[in-house]
Amino acid sequence: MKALALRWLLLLALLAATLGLAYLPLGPAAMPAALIVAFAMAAMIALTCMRLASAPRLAAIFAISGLCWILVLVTLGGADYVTRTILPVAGAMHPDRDAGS
Amino acid sequence: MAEIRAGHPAVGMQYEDLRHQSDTALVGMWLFLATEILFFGALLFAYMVYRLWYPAGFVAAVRHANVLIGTINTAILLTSSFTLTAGLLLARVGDMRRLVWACLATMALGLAFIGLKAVEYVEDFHEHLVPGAGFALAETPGAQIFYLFYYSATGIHLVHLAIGIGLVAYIVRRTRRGDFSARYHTPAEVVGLYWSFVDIVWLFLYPLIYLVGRGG
Amino acid sequence: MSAERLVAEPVNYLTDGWTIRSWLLTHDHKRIGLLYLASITGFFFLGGAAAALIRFNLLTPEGALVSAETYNRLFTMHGIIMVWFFLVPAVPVTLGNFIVPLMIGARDLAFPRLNLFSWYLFMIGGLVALYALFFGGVDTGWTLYTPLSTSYAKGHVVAAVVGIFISGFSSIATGLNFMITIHRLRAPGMTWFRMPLFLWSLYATSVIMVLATPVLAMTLILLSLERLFGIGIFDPALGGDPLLFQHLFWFYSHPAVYIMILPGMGVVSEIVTTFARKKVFGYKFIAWASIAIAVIGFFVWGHHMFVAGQSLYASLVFSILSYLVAVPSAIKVFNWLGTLHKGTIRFDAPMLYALGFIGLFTIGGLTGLFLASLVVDVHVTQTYFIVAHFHYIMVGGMVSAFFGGLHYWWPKITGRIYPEMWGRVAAILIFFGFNLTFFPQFILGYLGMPRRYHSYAPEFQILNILSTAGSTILAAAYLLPLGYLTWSLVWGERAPANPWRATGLEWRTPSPPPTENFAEIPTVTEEAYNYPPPEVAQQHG
Repeated sequence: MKALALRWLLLLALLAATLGLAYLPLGPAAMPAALIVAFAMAAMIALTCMRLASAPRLAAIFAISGLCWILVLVTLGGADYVTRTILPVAGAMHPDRDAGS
Repeated sequence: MAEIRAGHPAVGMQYEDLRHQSDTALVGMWLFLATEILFFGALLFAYMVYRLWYPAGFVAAVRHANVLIGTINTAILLTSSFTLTAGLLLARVGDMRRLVWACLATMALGLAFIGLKAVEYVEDFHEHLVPGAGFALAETPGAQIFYLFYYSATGIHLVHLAIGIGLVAYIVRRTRRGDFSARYHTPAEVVGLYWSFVDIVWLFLYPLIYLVGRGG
Repeated sequence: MSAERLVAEPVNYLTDGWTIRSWLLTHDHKRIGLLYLASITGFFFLGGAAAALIRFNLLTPEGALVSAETYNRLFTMHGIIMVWFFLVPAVPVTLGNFIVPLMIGARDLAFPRLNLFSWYLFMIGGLVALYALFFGGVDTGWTLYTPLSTSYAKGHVVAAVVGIFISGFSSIATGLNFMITIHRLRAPGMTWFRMPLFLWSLYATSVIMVLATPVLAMTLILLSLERLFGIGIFDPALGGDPLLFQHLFWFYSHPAVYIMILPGMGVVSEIVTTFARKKVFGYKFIAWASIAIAVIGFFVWGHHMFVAGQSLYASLVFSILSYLVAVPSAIKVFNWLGTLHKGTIRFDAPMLYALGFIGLFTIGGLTGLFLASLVVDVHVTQTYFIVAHFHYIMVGGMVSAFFGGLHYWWPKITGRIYPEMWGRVAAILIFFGFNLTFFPQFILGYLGMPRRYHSYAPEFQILNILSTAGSTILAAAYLLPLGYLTWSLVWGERAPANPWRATGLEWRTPSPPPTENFAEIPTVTEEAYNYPPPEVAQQHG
């Protein structure tokens, strides 16, 4: 029970950290930084509250495959977005959109 | 068929024993949560795509989000996971009375989250942060799309949370009825997994909606 | 003998309760399988009726039967019903539901209540979709492409989407149940590599159901929001990206193609070994090929978007990956042929369906390679070549396999033998009717006839008439089993426990099985397909 309370405090500290990070001028590093903290917090919940380590091994396999599969969507779908040539759309509401590449 | 159902009355005829059944139920919930990763993952992928397309619109919209309520809600949800986990720890040593209390605390925190979220929605509405006619950030391309994600992501999350509160209430009812013991309280463990997962989803929504882009 | 059996006949799952309640609230996987069988049969004939109207309309170049608007609604109805309410569920929820626990030596699926719940979800989703398709109609095609579906289409797009969304959860529940069951409930001694190949293919199918369907669910939510509130996520005029819809949609729908074919491959593996009376050739290759198809199937969705405006580099990657997925499919075909080689082959109806599957699937698969190649795809995209290609796989392949499996396990499911001669006639008619319907469409497509139009250039008429003629044969051939299988329920000869003298645990329990499947849980001591089975002589029942 005591260990649990400590983990809880640690998570609140991480919450404060990610909140603080958001106000630092990190530029493009802000998103990765926020996501890393989010993953760390998620991992702590998975290990503490969901007892992933002591659950049947299959549980971890399922959780990891879920993550891997969404990575497939992000990688192959993202491959299109970072290499696509975006042509202007006639009659678009936002012709001046800041199309990235 | 009576001779087939050996052991605990809750054991289905396809299982060898209680342990076999409860481990299977836990694994089943984990697999369901894997499908939920894909479900929310698709939404977050769409978010990322448009964030790439409309960096300025997304940053402008993030800065309009109510970071105070968002942060308090994150803390509430984190705490609720721990109250439920504490209840499950007690259930494993047979303290069913305190499991009920932990469940009630968890439900109260969940309801608090929903209440604060409602306050936030009302505020957004008054500030015209609702896509459509009269949208406050109509001049900033991409802000509308951000708000569509804001409402759909938080809305779907709220539905999950509401289901979670219902499930915890069901655990309370069954515990009070005396269905559970230190040996058998598998449904409570399964609900605990679900609850913590809903919490994890919010841990990703929180920075994407309230934080990233504030620092410039 | 028969009188004696009547007296001594033990209670089986069909006689264990006669009330409607005992069916609608059953937790028995076998009864749920039959509930599903009745439902998808209804959907199959509804979707088939729409297809028949489409074919009759194409008898003349200007459209013989219906207006362009009605035609659009018809092919949408055909597509939505056939994809989500017949092909995706077909084998898993009927034969799979029935056979999986029997095959692994379990008394039920891991989550029987979830199984029943999934049937209700399926029915609710199906009825909502039928409401949308019949009262108002949807004219977007089954792919629901944006911005057509969100900004321009008339009719009940949102209702249809809600129906598909709900039935998607039924699919997830089924896949989850199968995966967990196969992981956790195998009988003593039933190791992974002793499992019949049907289980491997259903496991692979379940992986896709579980991991792809949630993405479709989210996509449909976003589509509905855009249509209801007019906020641009996918509509370029509102600042969205229509290709994002296609990415998300095909992330589900391409793997869903493998949901529609993998179970068929599993059925064929069972039938081919049983009727060649020979151990399957290259067991591990077939098993791993199923898993490989499920995994690689997730990497190829972009080949549906070659001409849609996707980045050329992405197209290149997707094209190469699409070639890769052909490898495990080819492995399977070669292994089935290897199994047939020097086998003692019997041409019973299930075997005829399975052989039909192999031939038609091979044609469908090879033409898929044409389409995976960027240059050829640009030429034939949106033509009847595509239509012919996927019908060879889904109708020629999967529907044949479904019928094959239905005949193969019919004695186990119903306890009756179907009329063999009629079974063979139907199988042969389906094969020829199918080829006559769809082979002309390859030529039509190559010559440039576009799909999804209710009229066409006059020079295409002869091939279209041939295709329609074939479809009438096909329709008659599909109606035949409905007749004689129903007939056999009452007048068919009683089936012994193992009519095909096959291996596999499902044949070691009486036909039809008792509610708890096995009086005593069997122990497995050998690999699958150990032909001829040692206890051929002792037929129970």
